[in-house]
Amino acid sequence: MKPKIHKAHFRPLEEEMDFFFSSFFGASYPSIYRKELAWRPATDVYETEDCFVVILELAQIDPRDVAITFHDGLLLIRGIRKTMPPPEPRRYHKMEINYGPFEQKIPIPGDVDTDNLSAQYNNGFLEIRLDKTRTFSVNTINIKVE
Amino acid sequence: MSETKIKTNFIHQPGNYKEEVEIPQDLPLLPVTNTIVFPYVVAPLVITDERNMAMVNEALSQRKMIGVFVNKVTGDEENRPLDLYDVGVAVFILKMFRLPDGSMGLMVQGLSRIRLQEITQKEPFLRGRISAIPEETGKSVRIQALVREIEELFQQVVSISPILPDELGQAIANVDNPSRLTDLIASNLKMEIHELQSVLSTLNVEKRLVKLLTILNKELELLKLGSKIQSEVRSRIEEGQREYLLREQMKAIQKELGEKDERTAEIDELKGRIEEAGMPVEAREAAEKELDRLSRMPPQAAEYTVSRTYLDWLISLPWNRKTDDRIDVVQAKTILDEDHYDLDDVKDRILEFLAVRKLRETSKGPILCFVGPPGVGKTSLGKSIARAMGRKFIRYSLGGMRDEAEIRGHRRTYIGSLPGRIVQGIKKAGANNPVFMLDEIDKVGADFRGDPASALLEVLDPEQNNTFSDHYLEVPFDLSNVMFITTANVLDTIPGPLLDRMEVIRIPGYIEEDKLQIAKKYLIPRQREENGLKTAQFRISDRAVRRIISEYTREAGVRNLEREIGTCCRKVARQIAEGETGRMAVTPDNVPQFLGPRRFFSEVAQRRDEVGVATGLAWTPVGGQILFVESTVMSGGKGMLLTGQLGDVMKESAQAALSYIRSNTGRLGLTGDFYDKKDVHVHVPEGATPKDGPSAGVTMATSLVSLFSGYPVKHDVAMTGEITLQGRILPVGGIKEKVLAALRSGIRNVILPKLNEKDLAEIPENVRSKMTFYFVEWLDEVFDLTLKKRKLKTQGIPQKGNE
Repeated sequence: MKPKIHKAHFRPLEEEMDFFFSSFFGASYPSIYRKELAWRPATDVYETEDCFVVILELAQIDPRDVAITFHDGLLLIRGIRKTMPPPEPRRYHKMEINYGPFEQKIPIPGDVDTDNLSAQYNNGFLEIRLDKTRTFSVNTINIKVE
Repeated sequence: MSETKIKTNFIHQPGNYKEEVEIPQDLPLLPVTNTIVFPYVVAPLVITDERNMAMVNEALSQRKMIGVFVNKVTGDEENRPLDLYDVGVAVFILKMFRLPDGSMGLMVQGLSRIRLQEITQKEPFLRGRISAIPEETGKSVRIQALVREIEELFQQVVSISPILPDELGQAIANVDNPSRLTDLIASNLKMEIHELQSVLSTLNVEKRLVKLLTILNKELELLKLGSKIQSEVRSRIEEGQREYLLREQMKAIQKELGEKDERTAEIDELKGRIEEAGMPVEAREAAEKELDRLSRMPPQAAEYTVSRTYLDWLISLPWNRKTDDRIDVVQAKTILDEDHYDLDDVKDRILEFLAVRKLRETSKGPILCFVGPPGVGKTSLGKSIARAMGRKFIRYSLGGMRDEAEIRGHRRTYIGSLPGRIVQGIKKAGANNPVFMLDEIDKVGADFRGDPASALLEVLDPEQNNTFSDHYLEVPFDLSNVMFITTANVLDTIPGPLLDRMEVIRIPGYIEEDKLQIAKKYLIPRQREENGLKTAQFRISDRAVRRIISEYTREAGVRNLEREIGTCCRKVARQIAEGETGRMAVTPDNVPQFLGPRRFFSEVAQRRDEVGVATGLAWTPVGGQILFVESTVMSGGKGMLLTGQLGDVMKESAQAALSYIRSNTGRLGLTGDFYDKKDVHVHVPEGATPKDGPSAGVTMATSLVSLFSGYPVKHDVAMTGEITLQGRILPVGGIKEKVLAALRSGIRNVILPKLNEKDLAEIPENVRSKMTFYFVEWLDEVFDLTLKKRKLKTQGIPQKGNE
């Protein structure tokens, strides 16, 4: 099934949220509007001589629960972490690990070979490689996680 | 726990998985008092209450959702009754962490408005049953218009508000749902909690938009006012900074152009003037130190003027500027003679000084003290000394001065302090060697402000005054080049140490002949000039002047004489101005037309020989005077009455005279009972004038002998002298003044103590030749000379043979 692609959203609210945390105790802060309840995994994006590399930290994920699409220069990764801590009586001191649906939108700063996109899930890291090329496609490409 | 769930608008479709976010009907509840988390808004919450922390813990273990409701009652945290508004928000806990103070921080996202149906549990934390409030949407034209208006207003608020980031304006544009728009805006406005709640509780979107519009308008007004106040305050602060900045820039520009700013120029100018002032080392150091201080002072400082004035004083003093002395003794004599008639003693002293100066340039300036009655020309003599020497002339009257600071200045700590009169005078002279005349030194007072006479000691001591220290200057100034001249009417009131420092030159009164000459040479030409008359227009004969001198004035000096001559001049001037053309001349005959009836009469001319009335001679600060001693006798018993404001010494000399007579009755040929049953009264007329001194002894004795013997006293004989109980006559002072007074009064015979014979030399020859002097040693001689038709026995007085 082809996942529905949303229009590119170039201003990730998560980033504003980070700012939010930094000024958590400040007297003033703006409130942030967010439509989805998805969390954003920690992500690295870098480029080598011949490709762009996107790495997401996604522990305890079933690769089948992840959908990766590339459309119009925007790499969209969505999925869900179904694993939950075991139901036992507990008392939280810190709660930072996100569960449930996540989403990451990454604009790729350059042309990529849409025929040659690959994704690998290994030891909790999802690595997506996009080869630099002249080829240009406006079609939405689904990348399968290997 | 109920499994019924509330559907939300949050849907996730990641890959092949779809999750709808649903809210359980049974939720842990968080009562809040200070904030509201609106749906679709991510916001922080801080939890300090133990119960609520337990509640969060429970929520985190389950669906991570809680219901946030505002408590209607705010205030006291401890015993706050629970009364929640029924519209709240279900939130999802995104993150939780502990804060350093042990409280709990939550990052939550609002999900949906919910309605509290009932509180199902209160311990260990609140739990309640809730129902969903579906989100209202609407796209009516009115709503769209309101949305646009609100967006517009909010953009303005964001642009003015110092708190809200500009990105918020963009975020608003991305919100397409009117309901969510109101929630986002409301959550970003600083509002009172109940106002926030009213936004939350207003479920109808249109109504909520209207409410928000009102709030936004109010907020905008507040912000505008706030920013206006702020900018006003800031502009006031910036005004000062601006001025400073501009000044600094001006300095920089001037420096670039090679110009100097006003202040640097001022400092440089002062520096140059210090260089040129030729100060001694000590003064120069003080000046440079002060200049350094001044250069580091802002011109607005109160201290600046003080410092500047001080520097100006230091710079403008003639430290080594002096006028060249004209040391030509012959020419100096000519000048002195031009200005003053007679006064040979004084002129000689000046010329001697000049002569010494010529031989030895560094000789110390003498300090002369002219003593004499008013109007004899002491001050003008000082002026002509300055003229003769080619020096500047400064005059300052010390009369009535009581403040030491007048001499030495005030210390600079006092506001408006200035140097003393000495330094001021030197500055005025512009040279450090002026002739400095200190008038009326005998009239210096003293009170709680100090004793100016003592301060003068330093000024007038040639040994000390080269380091005269003014309180204001604080550095010594050399006064040794100054020629100080003081004047006084009497010497008695000048403190001893001060008198000791000065060379006293007596200027006695003038005789008629002198006055005539002075009038002819100086007074008449001067008055003529002052009244605008030509030489031909005003003539006055010598005899007329003499008449004025003897009948219209009675003084040692010539001040009144000048005044009377002035009166004549004015009357002539008036006649000329009225058109009279005839020659005006003042003759002896028409003097009364000018000056009115005769004012003074020669006492002697009115008198005849009388019993008990003797003529004495007295000395006063304003010249000599004749005085009469009258005595009379009446029934009584050995009493003696002395009247006429007599001083102690004078009373005693009257007693001595009486004792002498009583002890020598036989020899004097007086009958035995002349005194036993009688009272004697001695009176010295002009009873209002205080009199004192021993010199009237002979006069009193003569008066008494005349009284007791019945022989009248010759009225044209005047006398002076102190007596002893042996009848010896002691010398007295002021012979010249007394003799002149006798002459003025028309008395040609004067009896003087033998020991005063030497003083006759002081009296000008032309006076001496008109008069007859009798020098006596014993009282008996006096009686012989004064009493008529009777020669007293003189046997039995052993000393007689010595004559």
